[in-house]
Formats: sequence, C-alpha cells, structure tokens
Amino acid sequence: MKLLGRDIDARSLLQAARERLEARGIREDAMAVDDEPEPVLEPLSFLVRALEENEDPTLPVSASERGAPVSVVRRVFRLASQALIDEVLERQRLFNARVREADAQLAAEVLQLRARVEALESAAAKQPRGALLAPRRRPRKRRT
Amino acid sequence: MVVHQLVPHFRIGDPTAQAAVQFQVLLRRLGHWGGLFSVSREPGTEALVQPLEALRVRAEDLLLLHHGVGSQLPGRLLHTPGRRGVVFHGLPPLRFHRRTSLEPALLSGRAQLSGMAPHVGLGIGLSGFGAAELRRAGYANVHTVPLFVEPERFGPDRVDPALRTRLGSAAFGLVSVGPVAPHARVEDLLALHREVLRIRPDARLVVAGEVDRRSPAMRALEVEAARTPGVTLLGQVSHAERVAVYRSGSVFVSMGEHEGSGVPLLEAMAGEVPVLAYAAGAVPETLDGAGIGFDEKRFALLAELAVQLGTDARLRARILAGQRRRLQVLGAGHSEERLGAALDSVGVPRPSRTRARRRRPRVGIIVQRYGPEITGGAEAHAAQVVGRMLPHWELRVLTSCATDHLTWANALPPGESTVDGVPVLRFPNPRPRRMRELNALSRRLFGRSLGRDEEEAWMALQGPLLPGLWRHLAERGGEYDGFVAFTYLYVSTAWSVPLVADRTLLVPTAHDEEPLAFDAYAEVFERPRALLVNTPEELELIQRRFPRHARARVVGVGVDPPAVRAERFRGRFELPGDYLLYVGRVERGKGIPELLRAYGRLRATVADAPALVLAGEASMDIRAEGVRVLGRVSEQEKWDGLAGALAAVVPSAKESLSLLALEAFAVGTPVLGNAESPVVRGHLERSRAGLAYEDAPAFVGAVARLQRNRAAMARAARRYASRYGWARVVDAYREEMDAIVRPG
Repeated sequence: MKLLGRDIDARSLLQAARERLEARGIREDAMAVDDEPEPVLEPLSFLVRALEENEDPTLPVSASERGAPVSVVRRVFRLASQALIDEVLERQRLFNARVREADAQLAAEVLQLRARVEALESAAAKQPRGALLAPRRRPRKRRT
Repeated sequence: MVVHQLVPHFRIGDPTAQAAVQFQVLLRRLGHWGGLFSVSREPGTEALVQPLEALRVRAEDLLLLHHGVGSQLPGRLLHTPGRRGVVFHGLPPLRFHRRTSLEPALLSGRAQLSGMAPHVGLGIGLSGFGAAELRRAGYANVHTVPLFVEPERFGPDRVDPALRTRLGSAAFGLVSVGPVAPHARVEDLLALHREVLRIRPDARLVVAGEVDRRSPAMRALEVEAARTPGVTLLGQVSHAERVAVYRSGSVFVSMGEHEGSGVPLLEAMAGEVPVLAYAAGAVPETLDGAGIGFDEKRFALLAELAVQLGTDARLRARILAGQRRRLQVLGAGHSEERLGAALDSVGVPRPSRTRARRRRPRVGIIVQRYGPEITGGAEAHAAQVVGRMLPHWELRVLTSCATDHLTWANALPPGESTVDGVPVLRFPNPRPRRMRELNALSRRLFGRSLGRDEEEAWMALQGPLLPGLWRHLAERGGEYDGFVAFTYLYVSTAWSVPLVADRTLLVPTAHDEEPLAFDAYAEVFERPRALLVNTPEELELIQRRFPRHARARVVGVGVDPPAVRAERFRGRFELPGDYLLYVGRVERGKGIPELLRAYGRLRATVADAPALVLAGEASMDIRAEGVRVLGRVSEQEKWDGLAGALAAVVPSAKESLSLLALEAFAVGTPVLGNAESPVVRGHLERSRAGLAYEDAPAFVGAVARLQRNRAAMARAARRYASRYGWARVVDAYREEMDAIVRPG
C-alpha cells in the first residue's frame, strides 16, 4: 500500500502502523478493487439494442426485487388477464416495432455514411497537394 | 453574452443543482447572464429556476446541459438552436448497479454522453477525471472547471446546534459525507470502523448522505450499520447538519470508488478535519498532496493510520495546514479562471468596455423602482442622486416596471421613457412576488446556516427578477462608462453588480436585517469598485459582516430645504397645537405599531400631549386617540410640516441613513428616534439635536425633555444639518466615477 501526501513522511508513518499491527498480532490483508474504466457506449447501436429489449410491452416484468409474495400475486394477475393485456397493448407493440425498425435503419445509414466520409477524408488527405488545387474542368457544351 | 443552463431536476442540496448555481455565480463574475431551466423544481425554487417550457435560446447564446444519468434533456439540447455545451457530472461504474433500477438510467446516460459528442462544441468536466471520460466519449474541446467551496460556510459558527448536541463529543470518530450508494463503498467504511473498534472500543462512525433505497444491497447495508456498535447513518442532512458532521469528526474518510468532483473532500478541508481518502476518480487531483490518500484497502493498517491521524496533535496540525493551503488554491477565483478559458474556446469572451471619447461619462443607475409615483427611502435617494448628477453625467436609469414594492407587479410600460428629462429603461418582472411564499421561505431559512443554493433561491424569490436587465448588462454593459447601483438587498442589484463590478459604485443602504447574514451577498459588497455608504454606523455594520468589503466612503445625501411656512401646514391640516410628525410608509416594518403603543402611553400620562401626525402611504388601519393619518403629502407640505413640528419621529429600527431625521434637522426640528437603530442613535449622539427612546416610558420622558429644551436642540439641529450639503455629495460621486472612467 502506498500513502499519498505532501505533509507526511509516508514511509515512516506506514512503518510505524505496521509495527503496531504486528505488536497486536494482526496480519494485514488487501481488498481487491476493480478500477477498470467504463467502456464507451456507441449510442446508435445501444439505442437499437435497447429498443429491441423493450419492444414487447406484453412481456412480464421482473419482480424478483420485491420478494416472493409480490411475485406470486403479480404472476397470478398476469395469467388471469394476459389476453386483455395483449389486446390493449397490441397497437403499442406494433408501434414499438416500427420505431425500432426505423431507428435501426437510420442508425445503419448514419454509420455507413460516417464510414464513407471518413474514407473520403483519408483519401483526400493522401492525395498530392496539386491534385487538390487543380481547377475542375467543365465539360464543354456541344452546339447542336 | 447569455449562457443558459439546463438541469434535469432541481433539488436544494443536490450536487447537480449546487453546481448549476455555482456556475451561475461564476458566469455573472465573468460578465455573462443566463437562467436556470429544469424539468422539475423543488418548491421554493420557482423564482430561481424556470420550467423547461420557458427556455428561449438565440443563435448566439450558449446552452450548457448538466449531464449525468439518462434524462430527456440531451434530446432537448440537440434540437435547440445556439451553441451547446455539456457539463459532465460523472456516472458511477455500471458494475456497482447491475440489476438495480438505476442500471437503465446509467446506460442511457452513458449512451447519451457519447451521442451528444459530435453535436456539442464544449465539454466541461468537474475534474480532470471527468474530463478524461469526456475525451474517451468523443468530445473534442474539453475543459476542466472544478467546483469550489466557500470556507466560511463551514466555520464553527455554522454548525447545526441540535446535531452537535446529538453527536456529543466522542473521543474518536470517523465521519464520511456523500450518498450511501453502492459505489460509495459504505461497507468498506464499516469494515474500517470495525478495525478501529479493536483499537478504540469507544470509536464512532457517522455517515451523512441520502441512502439509495432502490438498491437491495443498500437496504441490507442499513441493517448491518444498525447492528454495528458506534455507527450512525444520518441519511440526507441540511447544510448546517453537514457542517456539524465534519466538525464532529476526528478523521474524514472516503472509501468511494468513484469520486467525480471531490467536493466532499474540499468541504472536509473547510470543516477542518483531516482527510483520509481512497485514491479513486478525482481524489488524487483534488488532494494534490493535501490530506492522506491511499491506493489499497488494507483495513487493519488503515485503522492504525486513522487513529494516529485523529489523535497525534502534531501530525493533525501539519495535515490541516496543508489542507488549508490546498483550499486556497482551489478557491472560486481558480474555478472562474477555468470557466473563462472554457468559454473563450467557444467564442464567448469576457465582455469589455467600449472606450468611446465622451464629454460626460455615460452612467447607468440601477435601482429596483423609479418614478414620481414611487415612495421609498432608497428609491427617493436614487432619484435625488440622479437629479444632482444630471449636469455632470450622461445618465440612464435601469429599473423595473413596478410601482408596488410588495408584488413588483409590472405597472409601468417596459422599454424607453423619460422621467423629469432623464432617460429611463424599464424591464418587466416575469414573476410577481408572492409575499406569502417569501415569508414562508424566510421563516424556514432565517437564522440558520445555509448552502449557496438556498440563499440564491431566497434572493430570487425576494425579487424583482429582471432578466431583461441582466441580459442588457451582459450584452450592452460595455456601452456604459460606469454604474451606480442602489440597495444591496434586492436581486435586481445583487445579480447586476457582479456583471459589471469593475465599473460599479454601490450605494448599499444596508441595515441590520436577517438577509445580511447570507454569504451570497459577499458578491455585492466585495466586488464593486467602491461602496458609498450613508453613515459611519452603516460602514461599521458592513465591516463587521463582510470584512473583505470593497473600499468604502461615507457619502450619504445632501439636504437643501426649500423656503418653509409652518402655518401653511397647520392651516391645511387643522393642527393648531403641538404635534409630533412621522413622514414615510405607514407600515409594520417601519415600527409604527411600537410607536402607537408608546404614544398611547403618552396620552394616558400627559393631559396636553402633542398630537401624533402620520404622513405617507398607509398599509395599516390606524384608529387611535390623538393620531392623525394624512396619507401622502406633497414635498412642500412635508417640509412645512417638519418645520412646524415639535419633533420628527423616526420609529424604524432598520435605517441606513434616516433621511427624515436629516430633513428635520435641516429645518431646525429635533428628532425623537428609536434607540434600537444604531444609525438614528448615531445621528442623535453626534448632533445632540434630539432624543432616543427604548420603550414607551422612555418615549414619554423624552417628549417632556424635548418640550423643555426644544430651542437649544433646534440650534444644534441646524448646525448638524449644515454638514449635509449637496455640493460635498456631488463631489464625492464625481471623484469616484472619475477614478473608474479615468484610472490612474
């Protein structure tokens, strides 16, 4: 273990603490800490996945957090009224599916366009300077 | 420039709300104005924070979104015109919140963070740690603007007395402040505390912060904490209670594995408790060598260290000195500089004065109300200064559309107009004041130690809210050479002064009242170029309350009475005998009920008691024997009345100048004044031209002495009033403005 501090003599402070621990007959143990940074979420793909996961409003929601009695009551209620729930939420399910499809389509287009822009930009960067500056020739109009 | 801020949910004490308020303070100091907008607001903050629907953004404005967990605001930001920025508050790692109700919001927040990156010109992290996350998420222009704490808010005088008593004085105690959430690792605090108990069985652990009850693990932790000896989980606490927690501890410990801003560490430093913190997130950069950081959780070893840190006086003193130094480096000035640099990077520079060559300086007079129909001490004072300075300055009055000081309702048309040849620019108040709402909040806040957000919410509710004025100052303030602002108390002045502080003379008209205890008013007293105060007593009060106040000068007003004829007043109002005269607003706040009680005693004691005449707009129903209520009187009637009075009565305990006393002295009339007012007492002691009364019997005695010695007192009154000529006042204003306009 390292101590950080400008106003302390870290080594002697630690040494003294370790000696006191030894005198008490206690062994020091370190607790492992996971400090990996969180991965960055790509928003377009994340949203498509999230829409997929929550597309069907008729699916049962997990109630495990509230304990067994609540789960049982909810399950019984759901079984008894599933047909009604499905009927009521059918239009919502269809709407969600369309939103998901539209989002997936648009997201795919955006990702593809981004890739193309990137490729064009890198190609343009590789071209010699003269090529970029050369004026474009206009096609001559033919007299008819 | 205008920089608005979006906050998902505004709740007093919430770190996001506190950061937004702090940014608003910094923005004002940088010369920028902007409102706070939120999806939902806590009751009592409706004047400070506007609903999202009220947001109007122009192409040149900057909109800053305070972002953390997922909300509807990123979508709003991306579809709003104008320049955009994100202030990132950090998101706790997902591994701590798997299968909790917070998980989807964390995922959304993270996806929204990277989704906004290509569309936002400015990313602000509240720490280098947060800034690094922004860069990883794809932000190109990233700045770090650390939050600051105001050390005076964590002083020993700010401790909640009830909690101090409840916590008692344990021989050794660990304290920790922050939300009891999975990433805060309160279970590690408990593990450390158990090790400390093996060394010090009397040890205590106090944890203050809202418990995240959505998490089953946190609910289980509450049960575990309750079973562990010496542990107190306080839950959410007020500002004063938080100070009590810091100041009750031997050591402040942070075991959190995601510290986004480092604010609790800074607060602990301000609360003068040594910091022992796990070096995660923003902790190493916040401490930067102050306190003690550690990189592994070896509880037995840490317990030995904690006990030594809490009990070794020399080590503790060394650590505290280092923490004080760190706190000075991370002051408000440091945050202001960093925010200024961030705004520069997106083309929002600090406004500057346009230096045009003018024969007379162009001066803006900032005052809460203005016009011939306005009665009120500070407003009359402003009008007199305007009248006298008109030949010397190119003036423009910047004020509200209100005539009523209770509601600030828009009674006069907004925009340009002229009053007695003076250009006046009026700005509407979008939210008239509701006295019941203000009084309720005042009862809740006055006399307590508060956070900045609570004080700013009260100031906004006090009003008058003039966003048009603040926009005008932020965008066109550079066209003025200087400003004179009146009355520190009103938000129209309090939020204007920092915007143009380097060119402003403040006439505070301060007296001893509850809001003067708010630290937020330090901006008004410390930042202007100079304070032009009314009396030595006012200066003494400001000195006591804000020792770092701007340079101050006792200036006051001039009093030049017209030719007077007492008989004219006596005849007009049928007052053949002696009378005592009060001129001003007839309302409770002016001490009228106490005056009526004292006068009742006089009538009961003395057979030929003088009449009591009250002249001015009355907001109370008065029916008492010998009392005449005249309503509003003309300026000439006031002077005639004062000249003929046995004495002028000044019943208000809260005076910063007492113009009535000076006017009475100028026509040779003595004054009977409330001894509770240091200003009135000061005038009477210096002039020997009147008497002060503490209570009804003293009032009766004073009237008798006055009747006996009136002639001598009248001579003393005239001598004293001769000091208050306008020429001296005008010279003082000109000198101070010249120092601004032509520095050096």
